[in-house]
Amino acid sequence: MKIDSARLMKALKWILGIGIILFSVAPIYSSLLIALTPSVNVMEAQLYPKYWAFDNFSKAFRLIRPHLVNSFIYSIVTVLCTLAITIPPAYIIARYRFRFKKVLIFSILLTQMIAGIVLLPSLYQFFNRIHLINTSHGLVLTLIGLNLALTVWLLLGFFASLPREIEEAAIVEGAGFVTVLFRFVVPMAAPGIAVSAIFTFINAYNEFAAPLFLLTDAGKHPLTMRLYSFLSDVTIQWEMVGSSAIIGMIPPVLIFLFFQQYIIKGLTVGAVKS
Amino acid sequence: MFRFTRSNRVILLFFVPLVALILLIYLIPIASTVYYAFRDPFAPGLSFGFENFGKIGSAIWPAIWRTVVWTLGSIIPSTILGFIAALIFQADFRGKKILMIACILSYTIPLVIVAMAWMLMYQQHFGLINVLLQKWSVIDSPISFLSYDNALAAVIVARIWRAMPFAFITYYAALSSLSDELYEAAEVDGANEMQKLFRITIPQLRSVTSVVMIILTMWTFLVFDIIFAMTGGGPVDATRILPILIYNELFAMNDIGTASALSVISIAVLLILSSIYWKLFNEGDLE
Repeated sequence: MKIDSARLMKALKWILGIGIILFSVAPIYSSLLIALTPSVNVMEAQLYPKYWAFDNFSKAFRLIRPHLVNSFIYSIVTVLCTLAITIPPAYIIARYRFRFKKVLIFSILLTQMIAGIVLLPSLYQFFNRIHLINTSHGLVLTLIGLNLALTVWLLLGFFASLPREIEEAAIVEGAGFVTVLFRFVVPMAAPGIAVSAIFTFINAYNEFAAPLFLLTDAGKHPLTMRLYSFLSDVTIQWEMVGSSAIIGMIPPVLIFLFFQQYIIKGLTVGAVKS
Repeated sequence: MFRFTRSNRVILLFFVPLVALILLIYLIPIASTVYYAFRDPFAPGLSFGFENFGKIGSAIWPAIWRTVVWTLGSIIPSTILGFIAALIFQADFRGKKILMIACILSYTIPLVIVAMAWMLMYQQHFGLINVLLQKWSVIDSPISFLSYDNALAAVIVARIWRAMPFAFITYYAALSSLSDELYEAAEVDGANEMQKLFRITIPQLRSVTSVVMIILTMWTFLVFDIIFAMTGGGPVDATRILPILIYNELFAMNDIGTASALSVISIAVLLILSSIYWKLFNEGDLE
């Protein structure tokens, strides 16, 4: 009896495991399959790649390149500004005691909960009034805002976990706040800062609703908006949908593969703590 | 050591940009959402009331219902699948690392690309699902996954694909940190795998489960990109959830009042859902 139940468990684990893995890779495989198909053959049913139309990729790349560049610029500027804005406050919250600390932490976390689509209609109105609508700096400001809570939260955890002794010794030696922070804390917390930077970059790169509401000028559109236009065309070119989807997922996937340990760590730190 | 003195109080200035941005991106929009939501659009002067909510009327209920179906329908399977994946990957086997990466990959890619990939999966002529089902003779003619009756389920599956990795990684980390003591004791008592799973593992992970479900609820509820890109809320209204309705009111109807009223309702539903979870899971802990 005991052996039977163990065997059953094992079989069940195998079936479920294979099912989950197939479910996880099928959409990516399917995109690749269609990306490699010439446009005249795109309606054919295929399970394995029959065609190798690599020029689909170069054609798709030519179409999305300016928007890929936009996305990179928006994301990098967002990362740099977000870090500059959040590192000193996160460090102060982690180390110093002050009166409204709890209220401050709570309100920062609250912003993470209500982020997204519910803000954008009034942000759209408001940006219209202060002439930030359809400007790239208006979008970048929004992207920074949407990433503040997560970054403060991640940095706070990393700063709090650093040993205090080095900083205390530096303060005894007469080092000021800025020296302590940038000479000692920032280098020690580099892995944590890297995690925050990676998450902010991926979030900014992936953002779709904010540019949809705030940018009307197609030249300023980030990659996600251009990708969406492949789906909203009157006649959809499916091989372009496939090949541009594959190209578009390369940057975040590469970042993920390169920094996977950091990302998994950041994900669990951020998630389990909140 | 780390205390504010008269000389270092100036470092509080580092909070200025942070607070200014929270004001700009959150407080002002939220305040004006509430303002627009309750301002009477018909009255000549400034007058507040529930006119905007009245304008939405009973049209709101199907949208709320679909939003709840969309949210629960995607987070419950995501949580269960993520948990099962985490259990399976606790064991060591060859190729574990690469297979784990394959399962987590969808977590990093833009939601618009999630939508594109699943649109390709669902196509009638060449979509992988229809091709496979026809090859195995499960069906004679292709299924139209994005029809009125199927579209909501179809977008939910795409959402599960994107949400599952989060549950997986969180459970995976939590499972690795469980202590062996209880399992050893259970082994002495002759418990089988199933008993260990339901009597030890799952009860111990209760707080992780509540965290995973709350976070996924907050993320899923507000997801706009997948549905907007795949169906635009259609066919007709089959996938019209609250975020889509908000977009339509603002850009198709050009009505900031009703759009804001819907935002207020969305925040309220979100708060209710989250507090239900807290109640469910915290009550269990008190026993």
